[in-house]
Formats: sequence, C-alpha cells, structure tokens
Amino acid sequence: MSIDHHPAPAGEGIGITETVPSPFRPVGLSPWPLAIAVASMLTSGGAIAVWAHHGYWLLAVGLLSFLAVITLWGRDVFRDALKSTKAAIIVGNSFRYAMALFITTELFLFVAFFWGYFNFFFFPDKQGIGYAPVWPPNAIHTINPLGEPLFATLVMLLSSTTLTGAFDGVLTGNRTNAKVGTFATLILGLAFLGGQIYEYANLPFPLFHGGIYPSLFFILTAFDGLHVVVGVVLLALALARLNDGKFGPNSFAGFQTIAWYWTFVDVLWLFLFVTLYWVGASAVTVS
Amino acid sequence: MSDDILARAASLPAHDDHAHHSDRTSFWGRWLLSTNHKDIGTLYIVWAMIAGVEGGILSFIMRAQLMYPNNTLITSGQTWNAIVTAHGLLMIFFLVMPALIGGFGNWFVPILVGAPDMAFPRLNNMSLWFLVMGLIFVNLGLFVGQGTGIGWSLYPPLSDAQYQPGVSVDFTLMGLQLAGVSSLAGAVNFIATILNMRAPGMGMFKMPLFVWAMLVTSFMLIMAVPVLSGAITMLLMDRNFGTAFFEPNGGGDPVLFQHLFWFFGHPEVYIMILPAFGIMNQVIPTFSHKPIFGYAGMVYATMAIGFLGFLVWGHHMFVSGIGHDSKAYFEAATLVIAVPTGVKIFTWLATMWGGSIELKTPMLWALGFIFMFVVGGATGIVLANAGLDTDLHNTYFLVAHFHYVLSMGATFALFSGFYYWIGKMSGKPYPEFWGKVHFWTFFIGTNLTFFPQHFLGLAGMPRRYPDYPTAFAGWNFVSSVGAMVDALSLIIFAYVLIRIFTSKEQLADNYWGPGATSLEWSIPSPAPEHTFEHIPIIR
Repeated sequence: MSIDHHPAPAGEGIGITETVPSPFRPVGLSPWPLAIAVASMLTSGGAIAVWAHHGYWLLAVGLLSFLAVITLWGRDVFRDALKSTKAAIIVGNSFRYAMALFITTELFLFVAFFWGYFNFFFFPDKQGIGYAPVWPPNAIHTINPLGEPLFATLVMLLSSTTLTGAFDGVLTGNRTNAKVGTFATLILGLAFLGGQIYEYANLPFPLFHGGIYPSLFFILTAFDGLHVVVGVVLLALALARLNDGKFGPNSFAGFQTIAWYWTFVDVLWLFLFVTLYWVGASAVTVS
Repeated sequence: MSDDILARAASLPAHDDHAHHSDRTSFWGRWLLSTNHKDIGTLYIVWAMIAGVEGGILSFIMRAQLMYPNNTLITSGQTWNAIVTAHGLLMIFFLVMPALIGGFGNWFVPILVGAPDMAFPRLNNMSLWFLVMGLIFVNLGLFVGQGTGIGWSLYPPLSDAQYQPGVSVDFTLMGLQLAGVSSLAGAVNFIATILNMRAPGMGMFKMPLFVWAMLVTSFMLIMAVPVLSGAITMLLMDRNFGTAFFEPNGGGDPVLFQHLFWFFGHPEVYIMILPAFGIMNQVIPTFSHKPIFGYAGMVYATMAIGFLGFLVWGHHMFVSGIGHDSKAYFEAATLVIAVPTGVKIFTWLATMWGGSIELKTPMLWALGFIFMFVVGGATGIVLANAGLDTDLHNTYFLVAHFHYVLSMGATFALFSGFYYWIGKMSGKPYPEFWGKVHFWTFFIGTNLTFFPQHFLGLAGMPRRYPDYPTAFAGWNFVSSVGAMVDALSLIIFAYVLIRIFTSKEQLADNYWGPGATSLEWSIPSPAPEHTFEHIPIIR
C-alpha cells in the first residue's frame, strides 16, 4: 500500500563530489509581481470597459497602477544591485539572456504584423470582396517615402552612432562621452517620435474604418512607435544611472541590454521603412 | 559557463546570513508574494488542478448532453460552443501548460541543474499571477453575456463583432494575452536558469533530459506565443477599432488569421507534449533500473521536434483553400516529424529492454502514456494526409486524435510526474494500491470515451454540435459511459490526495532506490525550503 523505502546515501550515483557556497542570493518576498498582475488585469479590463462604452475610469486606474508598480519594482531591483556588486557580474549574464530573449519575443510579435503585411504585398489577390488584386489598394495614396519617413530613417541611423559612442564611453570609463552620447540618442529618439506625430497628423487616409491598408499601416507604425517610446524611457533610465555614477568598464550589463533594445528598435524601423514606405509605395504618393 | 560560476563563487562571501529569512513569513506572504520556486511550483499545480476540475466538469456536461440523441440539457448552440471553447482553453492554457511547465518545471528545473532558485524569482511569481488573471478573464468570457462561442482556435469571421457581439470574446482574448505574458516570462526565466545557473561540472550534455525538454519548450514558447499575441491583437482591433485585417468587406483575409494562429498553434502542441516526454525520460530509466538508451539521440530528437514543429502549421488548414503545392509540402513536412518522435518511442522501449522493470504507479502511467501516444500518433499520420483530411477534418476522428495525444498523452505524463515526484514535494508516500486503481480506471475511462469517437468521425459525425442523428447514438452512449468512468477515476484521485496529505509516514531522500540518479534524489524529502545554497560540483 505504500512505497518501499530504499535507504540510499545522499548523492550516491548522482555524482556530487563537493559543494561550494552559492553566488546567487535568495530574493525576499515581494508584493510587486502580484501587484503588476492585478494592475495588468485592471488595464485590460479597462480596455474592455472602454470598448463596451463604460467610460475610461477603469483604464485610467489600471494604467496608473501599472506605472506605479513598475516604478516601485524597478526601485527594488536597483537597491538589490547596490548591495552586491560581485554577484551582479553573474546576475548580469542572466539579464543579458533575458533581454536577448525579450527582444526575440518582440521580434516574433512583429512577425505576426509583417506576416499580415506580406500576405497582401505578395498576394494582393487575397484582398477581400471588391478589391482589385493590386497592392497598395487602388484607392490608397501612400506617404512619400522621401519626406518624413526618410527624415525618421536618418534620425534612427544617427541615433545608433551616438549610442555606439556612448557605449564606448561606458566601456572605456569615459563618463562624459557616455552621458553625452546617451543624451544625444535620447534627443534623437524624441525627434523620431515628433516626426511620427507629424506624420499621423497629416495622413492621406483615415487610420480606422479605412480598409486593409490603413489597418496594416496603423498596427506596424503604432507598435513601432510604442517600442521607440519604451526605448526612450530605457535611455532616460540609463542616463539617470550614469548621472548616479553607475555603469563602468566592469558593470555594464544594464547599459548593454538597453543598447541591444535600441538597436532592435532601430533595425525594426529600417525594415519598416524599406518594406512599408519605400517598396510598398503607390505610384502616386503624398508628402 | 559553469566553470566560470565556480571560479567566481570561490571569490564571493557565503550568503548564509540571507538564508531561511522567509521561515518566519506568514501564510499570505508565502502563497501570494513568494519568490521561492518550490512554493510557486506548488501554486501552479494547485491552480492547474482548479482549472482542470472546471474544464473536466465542462467536458462532463458535454458528454451528458451527447449521451442520447435529441437530448435537451443544452439546447443553445452558442452555449454549446461557449462550453467547447472554455473546455479547450482551460485544458490547454490553464491545466496542461501550467502543470507541466509551471508546476513540475518550476519545482525541478532549478533542483535538477543544482541551482538555488530560478534566475528571476520575482518574474517567476509574476508569471504565476498573470496566469491566474488570465484564468479569471477566460471565466468571465464564459459566464458574462452570451459566452465566447468561437472554439479554442478563435477563427474569424465567427469571432468578429458581427457574429459574437458583446464583451465575452474580448474577455477571453484578453485572458489569452495575459496567459501569453505568463508563458513568455516563464520561458525567459527557464532559459536563463538553464543556461546561466547550472552547477559547476554540469555541461549541457550532462543535464537530465527533463531539463532539455524544458529548454526546448521554452525556446518554442519564445517564438510561438508572440505570434498568437499579435494575431489576437489584430482580432481585438478588428472587433473594436474598425480595422479590417480579417474582414473581407474591408479587404482583409480571414485565412491570414488561420496562418497566424496555427503558426502558434502547432508549436503549441509540442510545447505541451515535450515536457511530457521529459517526464517520461526521468520515470522510465528510474523504474527500468537502467540509464536512458541513447541520451544524445534523445536530445537531438527533442531539438528536431522543436524545429520541425514550426514548419508544419499548414496541415491544420488543408481545407482552408491553400494551394495543392502547399498541401503537398505541409503533408510531407508533417510526416517527417514522425521520425524524431519515433526515435523517442524506440529509445524508451530500448531503455526498458533488458531492464529490471518495476511496475510502480508512475511507471504504469508512463507505459499508459506510450500506448496512448502511439495510438494518437498513428491517427495523426492518417490526418496528415491532405486527401484523407479533406474527409476527416472537423469530425470526431480529429477529436479522438488530439484527445489521445493530449487528454491521454499529456495528462498521463502529468499523473506519471505527479506520482513520481509527490513524495519529493510533500515528503509523504502515495497509496500504491489506490494509485494503481486510479491509473486503471482512468486508462479504461479515457479509452472508452475516445476510442469510439474514431468510429463516429469515420462515419462523418462533425464536432462542435450539441446534437446528432440517431445513427450515431450507440458509440456516443459508449463514449459518455467512458466519461463517467473518468469522473469516478478523478474521485479516486481526490481520495489519493487525501491519503497523501493525511499520511504520517516520512519518506527517505531517495525513495525510488538506485534507479533514480538525478539531483533531486540527493536532497531530503520533502525538499527543504532552500536547496543548493551550497552549489554541488558535478563530476
């Protein structure tokens, strides 16, 4: 009725020879994981409330609580980092894995959106009822790629050079270069966002209820813009940390992962520029 | 990497002063705010059981309605579809995945690689609670309004605002988004733990095969789940923002959704079954008293399944109007997956061959798994044929196929892992006799439920209908009787749980004896709150 007891000495056949103290510190209880889950539920519930015409209050509560929890959680993470600089070297590697994997998930999110775009770009006959098999659709005049989009592209390309300069400053211990480079990248990121706002204010087609092309244009550019916003916030964080005297030749995992993220956003825009704005332009474009 | 850790560890002060700091934590602190992989793993298993019981009740309602033709338990097709949808989503996203990946993965991946905890303990707890919030939302989708009657595959146009007005579908889709965040955070955590926190001396090819399974599963999650999130985002926008991604009247293409869904959906079936394979790789050598036959072959087979799983999504769309060349490709690519899967099956058989086999309860479930998975795999080969699938798609033959690989494949592995590790998790033995009764009743019950559905499907009975012509009455009755046997079996399982947690017996460290050779058997039962604060050096 019950399991036999085989008294086997610990480790026999398992291959432990000796042990060493673990470099990994246990983490204490934290209210933030539960809080962020609740805040996310409130936010998504708030979105549903908006769609069901019940007003914006739940969405506002959700978003505010989400931002508050993120801030408090981030503060805890930074406090941890201050306490143990040596273990941070090892934990830094975990952070690198995490950021690389996070960027991969973001990449595959855009796989879905670009899949949607190429579905019609390569197979325009897949468009629905009453649409001629041409892409972009006949009724659509796209934005002139050599106008605002080219400006945005140059801004993003320039930002990768300033960021590389900043990272070089971190690696060589030149704090001034690091700060100036990060600040310049931040400003370029804001310039890009400004350009996108200008573009959205002067669109030659309605974003919603305008059919398949505006739908794809919106989801690709809006999610790209959202990622630039996140990138700008991360750059601001990196700048604040630099001003606090953090990041140096021996502890740069945080800066490095933020640079990776920005590079992802950069490459994403270049791909978007080439496929959506340039190759996907209609015969007659609007500036 | 591992040797780096050793070198660094030697230069670091011990952190024993931090140890056992949470011994004083309150009940609520421990179960709501935990950063301990074992507590979080336990919570995953508990929530999975809750979702599993709910999903099981829904399936029992379905079988009760289908027991006789012209039954009147559920007369509304929308309600029926809502039950079908919730059953599928609960079982996939809130039972199998949380239990296998979140539960056993959390509990045993850190222990099996000799790490004190997961790489990101707070993120770990976040994964858990995102899952719970997702579960709440999927339940809102079931109970609020008219219910989400779109099937687990969520196809538009049925899921459009035109055919499913109201908030139900929005709740369900948002629930899946939250569950997706949970899966992704969990996958990042597992990969970072496995790649960065292995004990010194544990090279990648010394890792237990369960850890390999979790690693490949996590990579699949990283690449599959975001595509679903993107598709759901587009679907939500079609419903609420007036976009036209899948809306033909606005120039959109509903088949695009099917591509995106199945680009996620097919890897998803391997995401569910690879951890199950991983458990088999721990259980079968233990009770055969032999090391696994062909370790490297098993690793490469796991990787091959993970890779091929991304190349075959179109076999779910043979009747969606894809071209003949596409059909030929997807059929051939699908059949190729039978090769690495066959490698696994034969590796298990070769492991048992000549071994001194002990038919303890976990081993019974493992043998049950192999049998069921081979049956489900064989019908999978039938369905992979684009010609045959034209007839069999959306019939009960398909229902039987995926319940054989999931309801019986994944679930049998789940129970196998449960009986294998519950002693390590609780420190108490399970009642061997009742464990075997649980197995045999479940084995008979599931076979009785699902085997006749092959005949129903071949005879042309379509799925997702609450009623059928009297010609199908006989086998439907048998199938429903099988569901009753399953229900009885789960009551027996509840009794087993009671027996475990009321037991006064205390198990030894390695209660399976010399067959069990992985690291979890070197620590006490139950596993103490913190393990490997002194990391082991593996020779």
